[in-house]
Formats: sequence, structure tokens, C-alpha cells
Amino acid sequence: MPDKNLKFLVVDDFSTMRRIVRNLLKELGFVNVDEAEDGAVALRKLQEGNFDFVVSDWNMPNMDGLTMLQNVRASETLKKIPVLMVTAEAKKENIVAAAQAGASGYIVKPFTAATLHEKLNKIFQNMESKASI
Amino acid sequence: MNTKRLMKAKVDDASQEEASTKPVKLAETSIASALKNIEENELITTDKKVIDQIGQLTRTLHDSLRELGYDKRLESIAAEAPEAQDKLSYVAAKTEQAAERTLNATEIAMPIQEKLSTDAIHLSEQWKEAFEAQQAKPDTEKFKILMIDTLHYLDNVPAQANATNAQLLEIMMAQDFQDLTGQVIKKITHMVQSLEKDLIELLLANVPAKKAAAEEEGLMNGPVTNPEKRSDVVSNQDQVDDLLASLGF
Repeated sequence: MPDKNLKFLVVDDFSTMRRIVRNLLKELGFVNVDEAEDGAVALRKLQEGNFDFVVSDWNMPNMDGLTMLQNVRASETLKKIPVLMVTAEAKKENIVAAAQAGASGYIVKPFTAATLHEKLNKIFQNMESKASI
Repeated sequence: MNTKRLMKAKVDDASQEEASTKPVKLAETSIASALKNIEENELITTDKKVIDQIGQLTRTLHDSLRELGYDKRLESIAAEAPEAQDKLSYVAAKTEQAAERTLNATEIAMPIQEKLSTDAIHLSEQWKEAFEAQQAKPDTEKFKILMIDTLHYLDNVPAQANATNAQLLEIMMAQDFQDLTGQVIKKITHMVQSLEKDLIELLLANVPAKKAAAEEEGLMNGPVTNPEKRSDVVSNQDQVDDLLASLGF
């Protein structure tokens, strides 16, 4: 059972999408949620505050989600934070690139609450099994 | 503010003056150098030939466009483009508005529903406790308070249900954009179709058939609108999961 106080960062350039993800997370019991409108802002927030989980879009101005993910994985302090991609990018090439960059999960938009729930749980399970080793 | 404007006007004047004197100077120098060049070598004649040929080709293309009536059609297409942009902005604005309205309504309704639920759970627990206590030591006063609380809760349920209903109605009404954007998008689709047809005809009439190099797409293409026509994209979450599983993730 994941800690309900996990601190989430929701990254998307559309405020409506950020609100939807925030509300879905709230439904799942996660109320500690912050938002960022692009990868650059997200990286800055990640470096400042101790976030436990990132849910990010791909296609954003200033810095896209993949570049942000690569920066997170390259950073000594941030590299262990799970990053779940939630994006409209549906090319196989995209999914492979995200996986290679170290994405913890990949959800294509439009998505359902059940899909988000399922992917989050899967990531939590992976975290727990890694922690127990 | 005013001085700024004056300054700008002066600058504009100056640049206009500069512009008006420039062509004269240019003309002088180009005539001089041209005379010199003509005397000097033949190279310029080949250059001239090329320029003449390009000029002829341009003229032919222009004439054939006119003959076929493409110039007028291209003109009307060019005129339609800004209109299509306006239409698309309208669609973007309408859908954003609808999303905001829906989210607002949901965020209002959710706490109401939550309160109904938690209050009911709380009351039910208190009743259970009271019944248990009743067996050990009867306490009519406690029941009285509980009955008043319950009645109060019941009296408040309709108002809360109505408030939620109002938000559900708001969510329903926020969907009215679909009708409007649907019509606008249909128009744009039609426009783009005729634009495509015209441009293809124009190309076929004027350009030798040549296989266009496949356009290289980047990794940021936005939503795929025609997944059924493509094999390089996934069309649902299951396909994403399968692909990742096949890669060992």
C-alpha cells in the first residue's frame, strides 16, 4: 500500500489536463500534488522540493517531457524518482524512446481513471520489490 | 509617450529618405558595372541566357495558371486560410471553455458528495454505538440527541442532492460546444479537402512526376488522428503495454 502522503508533480502545458490528473490522484487518495507547465519549470521544482513521483506530458514548450525525463535520470539526486509519461504521442518510436530514457510507465491519451490507477499501482509494486531487495 | 512617437516618426522619415536615394545610387553603379562587364567577357551572356530562360518559364507557368483558372482558385484558397485559422481558434476556445466548466462543476460537486457520505457513516456509527450502550445502560437522552442529528441530516440531504444535480446539469450543458465545433470542423475539413484537390491538380499540371522523399517526422506530433491508416503508431493502451512488455519493461 503506497503512502498517501507521496508528493506528486503533475507536468502538462494544458491546465485542464493538470486539473484532471490532480483530481484523479485525489480520488486515489493522493492530495499532496504540485503542478508545472513545462519540463523546465518541472526540473526546477524537482530540484527544489522533495518530490516522490512525476506524472508528465511529452509535447510541451520550453522543455519537452522526454528531455525532462533524461535530465531527471542523469541527475544524482533525482534519478530514482518514478516518472510516468501520460501523452498523446502514440508512435511506437516514442514509446521505445521513453522506455530507453527510463520512463517508469507510459499512458496514451485519451486515458481512463482505471488505467492511471493500474499504472500507478504497477510502479508502486516495482518500487516496493526494488526496496525489499 | 508623445516624444517616443515623434522620435519614431523621425526615424521612419529618415529611413524613407534613405530608401528613396538608394535606388538611384544602385542604378548608377549597376549601369557602370554592367557596361564594364559587357565589354569584358562573354560570361554574362550565358548568365543572361539562364535568366531569360527562368523568365520564360515563369511567364509560361503564370500564363498556364491563368489559362487553367488556377490563379483565381489559388487566390480564393489564400483568402480562405485566415478564415480557417479563425475557425480553429474558435474551436480551441470553445473546447477549453467546456473543459473548464466541466472541471469547475466536478470540483464543486465532489466535496458535496463526500460530505453526504462521511456524515452518513458518522451517524450510522453513532447509532450502532448507542444501541450497544443501550443494552448495558439505557440512556434516552443520547437517543434524543441522535434523533435530532439524524433528522437534521435527512433535512439537509435534498438541498445537497439538488446542488449536485445542478452541477451535473452544468456538466451536461458544457457539452453544447460539440454541436458548434462539430459544424465548424466540418467546414474546415471541406475547405482543406478542396484545397488539397486544387493543389494536387496544380502540381500534376505543372511539375514532372517525381517521388517525394518521405517526410521525416520527429518525436513530437501530438495526437494521432488516423491510427487506423498507420502501422507505426499504437491506437490504445493495450498496444502500449504489449509493446513495452515485448521490450522487457
